[in-house]
Amino acid sequence: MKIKVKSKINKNNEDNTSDDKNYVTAALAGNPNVGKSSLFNKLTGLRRHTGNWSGKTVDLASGFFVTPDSKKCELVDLPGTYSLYARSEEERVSRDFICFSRSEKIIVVVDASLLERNLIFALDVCEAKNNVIVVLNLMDEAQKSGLCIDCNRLSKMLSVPIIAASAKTGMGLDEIKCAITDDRYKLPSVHISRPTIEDATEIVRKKVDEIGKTGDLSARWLAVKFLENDAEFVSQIAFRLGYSSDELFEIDDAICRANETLKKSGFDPDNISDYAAECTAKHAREIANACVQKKGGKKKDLTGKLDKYVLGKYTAYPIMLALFSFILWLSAVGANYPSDLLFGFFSLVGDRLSYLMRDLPEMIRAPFLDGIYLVLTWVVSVMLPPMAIFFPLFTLAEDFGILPRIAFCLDEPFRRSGSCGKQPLAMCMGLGCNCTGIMGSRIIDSDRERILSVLTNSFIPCNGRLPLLITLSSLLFFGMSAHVRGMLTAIALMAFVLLTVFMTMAVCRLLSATLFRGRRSSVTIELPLYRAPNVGQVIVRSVFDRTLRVLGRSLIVAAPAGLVIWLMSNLTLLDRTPLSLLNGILDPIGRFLGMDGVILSAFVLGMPANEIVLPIILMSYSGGGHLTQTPSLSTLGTVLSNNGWTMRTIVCTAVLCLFHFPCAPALITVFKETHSKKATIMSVVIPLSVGVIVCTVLSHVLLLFEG
Amino acid sequence: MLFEKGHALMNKEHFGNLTLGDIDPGDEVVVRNINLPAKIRRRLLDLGISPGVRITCTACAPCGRPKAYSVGSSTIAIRLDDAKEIEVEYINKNENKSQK
Repeated sequence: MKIKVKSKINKNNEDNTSDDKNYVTAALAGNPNVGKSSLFNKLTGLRRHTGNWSGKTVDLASGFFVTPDSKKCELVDLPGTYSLYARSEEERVSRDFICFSRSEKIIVVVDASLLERNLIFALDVCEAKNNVIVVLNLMDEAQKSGLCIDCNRLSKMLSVPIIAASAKTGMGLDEIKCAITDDRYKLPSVHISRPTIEDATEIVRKKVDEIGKTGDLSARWLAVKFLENDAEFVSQIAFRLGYSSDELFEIDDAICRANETLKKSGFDPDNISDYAAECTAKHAREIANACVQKKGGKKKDLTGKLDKYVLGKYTAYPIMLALFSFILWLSAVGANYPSDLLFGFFSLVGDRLSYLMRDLPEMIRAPFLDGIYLVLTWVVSVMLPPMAIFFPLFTLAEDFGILPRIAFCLDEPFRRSGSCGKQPLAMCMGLGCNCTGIMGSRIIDSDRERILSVLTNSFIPCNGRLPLLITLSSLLFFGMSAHVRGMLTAIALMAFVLLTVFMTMAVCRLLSATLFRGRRSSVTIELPLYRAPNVGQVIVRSVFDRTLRVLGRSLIVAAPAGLVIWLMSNLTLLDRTPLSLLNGILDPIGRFLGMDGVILSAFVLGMPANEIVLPIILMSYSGGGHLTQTPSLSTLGTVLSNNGWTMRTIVCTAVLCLFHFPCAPALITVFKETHSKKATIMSVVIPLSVGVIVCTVLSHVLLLFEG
Repeated sequence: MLFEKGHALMNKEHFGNLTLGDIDPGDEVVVRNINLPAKIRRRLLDLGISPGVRITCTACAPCGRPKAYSVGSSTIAIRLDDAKEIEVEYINKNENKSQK
């Protein structure tokens, strides 16, 4: 991620210098969860997902709009950050963009109702740069809760233009567009007083001014940063602003002199960073006190009341479990009907296609229709409906503000397994699609814990595997009355999902005791106020942004997979098809694990998209040359038991379905996120070895029962 | 067993100074000192938690930790291990709740 994002910023710089004057860039920055992404959507008309929790923006996104004086403006949405003193990778991205990109304006978005805290960041940026605009977002919410903010006064105290805005009502959007190219506002940057280190700062500032390489940054702010001695940032400054080693040496010399003066006055230079931050925070507090009047409000009461139950000692876990099972149930059961409709539709289209292609030679027609087309439509029919239900529901929960509370409640159990409370959020996303879950792991601050979350995400059965899991669960209770079976299936499914959660925690624990030993991280989770989600917007956005993207990703790999499967089952090699050869080779291993070769090769061939595992199994058993639709449960049960399936086979297959290797798109995502071949290999080895171990144990234990 | 460990940590009051980890929901304190490694301390400072600031404990996770604190107008959860390193002084002790 590091390399990719940095190259993006560099590209931006180049674009700016080379392009004409009708092209400007601006960036949206601010604390997490202040509505940057909503503003971004409103300004650029782009659909970008927004959520009511910290760390939603996981990559740089940019969009365009035209300013009133008809210039084209590229707007970049930066990941939320609490300060320019960066701690995680995302924060570094934001910091570097703010400090070193040559954007026309930095738009600092602050949450009007959390002014005091937000101003700490805003002040930091206002001190560093002189092209800042502060946008008071969520102004309507603040007014409703009885806050009265004196914008003129705030503008004077920060010495930047202030725009009161609300992404919801559209207030202030035009002003923002105007302000981007308005140079009247180039005011001197704000002065934050730090009396104790003033003399020391002055020594370094003189040197910085003398060298003159400040970029767009204020010399005084740079001087403080040099004194703070954040090695990583200093090397960034030196690199980006082009300091030579001689110049750095001179700066070092100035820092030493400054530190001497501090020591003489009895101040430990190690405390500069803290002191600087405290001064900024104090200044922010003073400004907030001067500009905000509170007339009493009600908003927080609702949050308090709800939190009593959502975070309550006895109610928290039941509420979470109920919510979780509800979402799971709805996306699993509710998806059956649209799935069947889609199957019907695609088979109609297939017949039509086959009619149209009747003149083409069989060698072209068959691989296309029975291979590519069949697998593609299969994946769509199985995958689309549950995702189209799951993602909007998840997004609603997200917008409402429930996710950080889940992280809060689950932090302790996950801390004990060496991870943190943000991991379950990535796991929840993994239920929709493991790729989303793996990318979502970026919300985790510590690198060590992020890797743990990336490596174990494929444990969680995604929407591609859930249908198989449901079918297997209901086969377990085959022969019982439909009513009882439904109940037991749901319980078995829940047990399987809880098994994966347990395994995730166990493996995290094991990994953090062996391969990923490291400091426990400090976790700070912000619990936002509950916000009513905008239902219509949520549905549209989650369908377009997530569902279709995830679907597209699987289709890209499903098409070639369809061809491969067709070839495997139709070519002849040594008088047999390659598929049956593979089945034969894998059979001894499969038997050992309580299954057979057919099941194993189905998992291997199903790697591009796990939806097609069961169809491949059925195809192998029937000896046919192409996939056929899953028959009714009773037919399925008979077919499978005729091929030697027992209770033991079903359980072992279900376990292997949970713990094998990640699907191809997920593997690609792991590599993209970690930039490490080692991690990618581990993401295969870890779940596979868990699966093999659990299957071996289970198959041998269950064998005893079968006698 | 693990719960006992947590319990012992929470009753550290007589051991040394009162810390943010010791206070219960409803208690209001003022921060005196933050004894954490520089990077974490800096993060807390950026979140507005600095010496002299008033903090109210607002909630406690079902496992007893972490706890959530309201600082200014925002609510932030801090892990117990970190909260234990933040020395505080009572402004207001919520008497109804602390009898356990």
